[in-house]
Amino acid sequence: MRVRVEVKKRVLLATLMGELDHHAATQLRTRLDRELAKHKIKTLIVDLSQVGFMDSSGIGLLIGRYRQMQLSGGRMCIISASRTVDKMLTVSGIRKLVKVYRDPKIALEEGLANE
Amino acid sequence: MNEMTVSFLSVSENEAFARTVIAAFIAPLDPTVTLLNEVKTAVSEAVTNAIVHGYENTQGMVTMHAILDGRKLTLSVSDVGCGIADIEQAMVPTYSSKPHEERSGIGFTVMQSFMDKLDVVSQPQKGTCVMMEKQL
Repeated sequence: MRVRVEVKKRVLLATLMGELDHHAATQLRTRLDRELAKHKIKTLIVDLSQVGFMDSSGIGLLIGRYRQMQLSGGRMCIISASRTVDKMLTVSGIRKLVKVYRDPKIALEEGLANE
Repeated sequence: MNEMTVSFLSVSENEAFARTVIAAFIAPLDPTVTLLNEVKTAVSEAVTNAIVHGYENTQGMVTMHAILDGRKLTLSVSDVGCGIADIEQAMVPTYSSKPHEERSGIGFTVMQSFMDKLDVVSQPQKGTCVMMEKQL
């Protein structure tokens, strides 16, 4: 799993690439939390459109970051494209908590507008 | 008819290994991408459970056994770890014995929704065996 982190103002776009399982989630958690704290992030956008595989450990990571953003008064959203990831988002019920976008540009614009 | 067994150490790197093995095993049936991903996800959940809960991140062996009979896949993932005292509770969606570790608690729910059949046999201090079936 690779991750690309882009920060604009206090919006963080994390583009995940590869397979998001328990192994990857453990490493990713530390990296994301460090970036969130460092830039005092208000909006976290997690782009899953380049994730070819995700299991419930990925959901655990997403819900964990969602709770963290809530605690700090921020927000979080997800970008999804693949059918595999979509199905996992649906089964987990995370759609009730976190807004899912198709287009990263729209998510980014809305995040910046909320600054 | 085909059958295979593979045993590997309970380290998180082997979650991807187990997914690759099961994908290769069913590849001759040329399953759809959706079916393939469902099987890989179910295996990933079961193997992660063995590593995180069965062995509680200590080292032990995880065994995956699979049988293909026509297009019917029967597979099991087992460990000889700490076992599950209350299987019913473990299978409740979003219940996790380790919520502080950001476990979502939906592993069994995912296995149930992605496979046709799921059975869990476990004995405290002896280990756990998760059996699943799916028509490919």
